[in-house]
Amino acid sequence: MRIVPAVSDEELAGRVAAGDLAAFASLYDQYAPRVFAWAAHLLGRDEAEDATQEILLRLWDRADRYDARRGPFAPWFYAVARHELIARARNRTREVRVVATDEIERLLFDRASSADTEAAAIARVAGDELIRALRTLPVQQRRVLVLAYFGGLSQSEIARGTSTPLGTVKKRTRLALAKLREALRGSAGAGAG
Amino acid sequence: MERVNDRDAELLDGLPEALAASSPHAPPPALRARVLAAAAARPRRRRSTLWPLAAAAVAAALVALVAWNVQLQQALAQDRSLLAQLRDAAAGHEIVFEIVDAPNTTKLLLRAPAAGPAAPYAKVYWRPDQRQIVAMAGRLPALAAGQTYELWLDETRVGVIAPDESGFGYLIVDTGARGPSYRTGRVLLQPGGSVVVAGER
Repeated sequence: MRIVPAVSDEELAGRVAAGDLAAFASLYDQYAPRVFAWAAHLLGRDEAEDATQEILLRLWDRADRYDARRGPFAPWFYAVARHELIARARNRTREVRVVATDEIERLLFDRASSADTEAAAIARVAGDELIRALRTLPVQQRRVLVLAYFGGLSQSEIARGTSTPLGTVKKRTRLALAKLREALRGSAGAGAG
Repeated sequence: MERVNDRDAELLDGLPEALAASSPHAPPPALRARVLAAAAARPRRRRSTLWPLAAAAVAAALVALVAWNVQLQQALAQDRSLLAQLRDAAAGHEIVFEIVDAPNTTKLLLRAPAAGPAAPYAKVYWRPDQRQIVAMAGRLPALAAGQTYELWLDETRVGVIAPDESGFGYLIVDTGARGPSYRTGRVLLQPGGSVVVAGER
């Protein structure tokens, strides 16, 4: 049996920069479902198509700006996607963004805690370690991270949107990031050992 | 962090994948075809390979600009120094300042054949509404006994510049007619006639 090595995202991005449409299709297949799901929850299904198209075409246009020597492709691409989605979400009220992001949080963590087949499917994805690490956080700490990441809410907006003192939100954010880093370091160490 | 920054966000970059796995929202198949067609039809925005060359050219231009600025500052300082010496030396001659400071003055710069920070130089001033010319020289080497510095404008010997111990000297000459004008100037070391400084308009 001949084993064909998988092409890395970084290599695909390099090919996209050179105008390789097949490489672009590969990255689309991998990343468009993620961007679309995020956009659909945050902006609604109607705008999700337009936002996904815009973000993927931005990848096509700007792939030459990605430098694999400076880091993996995924964080670079998600930064592009997040900035576009959050810019669009700013047209929504804070309350709408909080509700949409809370729904994302329920999907990610409530279902994962049940023993159904969907949870098993989630456990197989690459974000499994991250989900597990986030589930170790107190719910309110985890919530501020999800609101900030998916909804693009500032700490002030989270404070107002969740009727929580700003100082508390800042403290939860700081603790959540520290614990998450620690948990991910631990799981990386366990994985290496 | 007021708003999540990219570095903190990287920690959470596994979440969109997990969300896609659990969300009921999936992109319609038609979207893929539409995006690929749009990409194929889109003109590529390529970063020009000329950028590194352009950056190098800009850097070289900056270096040249700095060098030119230093040179300019040195020339201005030299000019200020020479004028200050002239003002001290010719305090009793109002005509010197009327010619040197006037907006309609013509200036002829004379340089040494071999340029350098210690090279001698001279300047000659005249204006169209005066009969006099003013010449001054700096960093002139000390003269041996019997030697002189002669100022020649075009092919006319107009006078002698006698430098002080610092090498500075000046000369005021009444040409006898308003609006003198010259194309070339030289300071010659006599006897012998070797060129100390020379210049042309």
